[in-house]
Amino acid sequence: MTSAVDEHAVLANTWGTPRGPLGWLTSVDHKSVGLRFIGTALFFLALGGVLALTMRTQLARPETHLLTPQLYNQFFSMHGTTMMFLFAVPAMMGLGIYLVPLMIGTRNVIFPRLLAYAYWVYLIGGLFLYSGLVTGNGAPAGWFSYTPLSETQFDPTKGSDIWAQTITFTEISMMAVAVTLIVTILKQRAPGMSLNRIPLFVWSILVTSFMVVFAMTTIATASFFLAADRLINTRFFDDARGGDALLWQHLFWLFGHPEVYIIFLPATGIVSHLVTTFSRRPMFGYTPIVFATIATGIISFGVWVHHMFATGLPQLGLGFYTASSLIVTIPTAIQLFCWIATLWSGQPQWRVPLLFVLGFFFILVRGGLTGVMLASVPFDLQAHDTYFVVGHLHDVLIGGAVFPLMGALLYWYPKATGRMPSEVAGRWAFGLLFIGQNLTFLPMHLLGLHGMPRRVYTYLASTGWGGLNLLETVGAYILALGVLVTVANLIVSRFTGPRAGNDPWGADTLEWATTSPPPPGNFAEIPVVMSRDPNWDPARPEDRPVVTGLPLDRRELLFTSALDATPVRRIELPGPTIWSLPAALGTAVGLIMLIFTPWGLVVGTLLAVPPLVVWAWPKHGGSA
Amino acid sequence: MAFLQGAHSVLAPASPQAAAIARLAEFFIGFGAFIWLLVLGFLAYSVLRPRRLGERDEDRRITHRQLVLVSVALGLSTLLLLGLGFVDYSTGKHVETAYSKSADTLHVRLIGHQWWWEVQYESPHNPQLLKTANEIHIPVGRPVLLRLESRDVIHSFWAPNLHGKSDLIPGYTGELTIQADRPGIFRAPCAEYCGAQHAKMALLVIAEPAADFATWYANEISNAVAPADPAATRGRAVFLTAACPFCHTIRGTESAGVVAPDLTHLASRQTLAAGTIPNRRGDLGGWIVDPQGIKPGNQMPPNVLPAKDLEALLDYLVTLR
Amino acid sequence: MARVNSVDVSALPREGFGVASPAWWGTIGFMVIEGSSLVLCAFAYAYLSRRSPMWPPSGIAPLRLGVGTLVAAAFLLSLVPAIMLHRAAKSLDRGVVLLMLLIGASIEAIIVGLRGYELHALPMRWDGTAYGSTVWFTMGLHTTLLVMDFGETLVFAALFLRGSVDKRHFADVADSVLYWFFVVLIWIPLYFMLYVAPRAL
Repeated sequence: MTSAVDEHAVLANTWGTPRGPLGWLTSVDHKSVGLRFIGTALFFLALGGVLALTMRTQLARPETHLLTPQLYNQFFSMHGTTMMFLFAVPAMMGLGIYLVPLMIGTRNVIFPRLLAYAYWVYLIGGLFLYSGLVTGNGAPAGWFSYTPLSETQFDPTKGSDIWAQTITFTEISMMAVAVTLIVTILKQRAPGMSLNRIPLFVWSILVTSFMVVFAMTTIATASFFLAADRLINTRFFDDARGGDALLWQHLFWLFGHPEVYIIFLPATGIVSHLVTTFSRRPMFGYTPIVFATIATGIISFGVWVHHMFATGLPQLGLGFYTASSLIVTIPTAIQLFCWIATLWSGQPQWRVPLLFVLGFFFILVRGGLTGVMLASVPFDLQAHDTYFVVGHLHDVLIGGAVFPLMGALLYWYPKATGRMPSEVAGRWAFGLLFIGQNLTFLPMHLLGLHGMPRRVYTYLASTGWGGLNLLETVGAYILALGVLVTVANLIVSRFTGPRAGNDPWGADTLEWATTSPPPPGNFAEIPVVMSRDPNWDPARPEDRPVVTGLPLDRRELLFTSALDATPVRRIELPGPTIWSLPAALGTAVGLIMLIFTPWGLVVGTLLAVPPLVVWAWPKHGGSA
Repeated sequence: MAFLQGAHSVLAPASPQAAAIARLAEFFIGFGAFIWLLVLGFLAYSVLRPRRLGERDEDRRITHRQLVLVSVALGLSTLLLLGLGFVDYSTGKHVETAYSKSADTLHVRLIGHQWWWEVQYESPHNPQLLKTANEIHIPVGRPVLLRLESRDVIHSFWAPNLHGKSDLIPGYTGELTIQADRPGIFRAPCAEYCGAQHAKMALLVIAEPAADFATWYANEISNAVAPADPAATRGRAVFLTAACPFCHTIRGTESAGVVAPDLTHLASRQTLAAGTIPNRRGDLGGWIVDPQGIKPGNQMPPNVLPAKDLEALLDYLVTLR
Repeated sequence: MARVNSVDVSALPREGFGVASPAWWGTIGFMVIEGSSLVLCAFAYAYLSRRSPMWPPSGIAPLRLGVGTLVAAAFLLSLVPAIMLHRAAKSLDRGVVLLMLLIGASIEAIIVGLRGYELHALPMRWDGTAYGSTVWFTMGLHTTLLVMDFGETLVFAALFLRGSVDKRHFADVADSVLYWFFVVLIWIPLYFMLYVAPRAL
């Protein structure tokens, strides 16, 4: 009979990754890859933020010339593209990659090598976008790249090509992650974790991943059309040859609106966990929240025309989209009311993550209400493409997604690092972020109603917009300071924070039932789940039921049934590999070449497929 | 340019349509503020309310009562949204129909270019087209049907004092009917990102009493005044021999360029370069010589002219009322 | 030491078909993604057709019905050996699977050739009109899926010829037949849209 210490050593050996740089390049551990996604996303947040600060500095006074008009226009296009494609979605999915296997009680994701490949493709794609900016080929046509402005005739630089291919990079990456997470969540839950016991963050990631599969396929196809128009002279958007500029808008917004819910829904999952932990009671209305998440995901595909109210589409049709855009708020309202009810009947713990929940409410509710206003066609026709919308979108994205994300980073920090983040720094960060966000974006609603359009590199002094713009710029700097303090907190606390045990917050989900940080293989023994809040099981940890019979010396884990998580089979997963990286590099070479010649498709296939075959070629281990 | 104050605000309506939308906007702001404060109030109470000792054990009773409260809140929210939908619909209907029925509709064709507005007045009675740029005059109280087209990328016409915006999309002809209730100068900045100088592409909509409008119209449709003195004559010659006629037209001269604004009545306009600079002699001179300095990336090249030629040209251009 | 309610999984199988196979899920994911992409190409075709007074635009001959029907028929006929391969894979008979893989690879090679002919027979290029662009893109995307499946069939044939196979590989072959069904069946409505509908409507 082996001792517990021996068992831990065997488990660590089986599931571990070699140390050193080779280990970093070959790791397929979801925790390592997830942290990489989050860290890289925060890096792009910083880049996008610097772009924003520069723009706000230019706009602080009328008719300043910090940037040339062309460069300013590239800056706002890069800012939007960075935040939406390179920061927000990868950050949320990265959090999902890190947390989902821990929350559902398994040892890794179902396609670990695909996950590693997805990271490399994302990293290369993001860097590729910025290579454009520094060579005078920054994306010039907005993050939404409307045609015909993004066609060759009006953008003779490589900017729109680089933009289109960056989309392809990020779509490949996020779709690979989404498929991986869907299968992992459906098939690898610990025995007993039936559908109605899945943690709410995992539900949100499941719904989000389905949305990613459909929405990102749409933008990938659209960006192929655009790339083809530019490279081989197809005529998808050329109205002189039977194409249509509005085709782009339909395709883009069919993706674009679900995209914002792809960012928002995981944030609601985070809020559910923060509310539960910091109220010390189970979530009120678990089932309504699950249905609300699913409903939001589905309805979000039916509202896209509200971005196109000014394009002259038939009036009768527009009314349908007003209705759907109003209806989509109802599931979110359900979640809001359930969270308030949970806090009401719980015992609030005044720690920093709870502050971020309160900040989330303050800003997101405002953003949701301005969204309801924008659903109205007559009002939208005034507010569309003005600073009113800039205010609205930053309310819902920063309040609705970034605030929960900041709360999540501080909340799960002890789990990932084994140390507590600084509470004082957290409070300062919250204060700066909160004041900064409100000061920057609240006045924008007024500016929009007073005639200031979007995407303008300057404005005349006689418009009278200077005062509010200056205020907003001050706010932007305060916001940036808040981000800096948070990042500093995350970095410094690694070395100076007090050590955290398994469960410093007293939380209810499975990730808190293992060590901080978790060992390779996540759990000494796979748990059996008996309730919705397994870590609040009154039995002592050593008395809780576990799974037995899985060998520790092979990378084996359990496949269970999708509905009620009864064990179905054992499965062996592949281990670390270097081949994900050359596959990603081959993909990258192909995609970059495609900007210059259609032969990129052939070259990319020749370079990417062999490593793919090697990584998937059956050995004694698993295949993907 | 003090006239710009308030000359582009959704909340300073000058038409029945904009007035309906402004009322809607004010209602939304009030309603939104109320709901926001209500939700925050409940949230604040939920975390700040005094807790009784032993309250945790009463979880189940609290849950049931809150089930009722949450259901009521949800029901009320749904009803409110339904009500909002109705308000939206009726405002939309009002906006579509609140035009003066008694008067003729004036037809104006607006063609978007990077980065200026081409204007043509159409009339069934007069085969001669009235062509101008970057400024439209409309008679107070009469509906004006704008036909919206684009020669290049997507632009958007937006005069907030008068109506919501409507896009100018290549391959499409859009239609927007506007009507001013009072005289005024209303600024319409381009409202769809259209490239480098999107920020400096504004149209002026000048609403004036019917008689003033008729005067303006009759003047504007006529050819350019012939130069009355030697300086202006010399200026016209400079115009015709420099690069100007490649792009511009002054009706009544041999020039026939169509890719840039029609200059026949340049001096009657309030601004230059699509609402960017005031139309004063010095500004005009600066624009002719160095348009890239004022609007970098726009389509007009610099014109290097000897000082005397420039002065003569300006002498001519300022006569083009 | 035994705990209450612990679950012992040592007797569970280590292979699975269908929903119990990760590769099956990967195949389904791929089908959903590529299928959605083809649907979007069809959407672009249909949307742009409503914007044009004539579709195909004047001056472009309709697609050659004979060629298109030949290719569609070849696709449908290939389903018969595909079903046989699927049965062989489920029955874990290595010899029959190898035979059917070789037959399948040959059939796919013929179909790839026919598709090449079909593309060659298109009466317009992709860069003259939006009609040409949508037709070429739809067919081109579908051809990519066809070629990828052909490559996968070759890889499996090589594996069953030379390599060591276990139960998992039979499951993978079964999944690849599923994918072939997808490639064939999604082409049929597209064939009707591109070849039949412009003549009938």
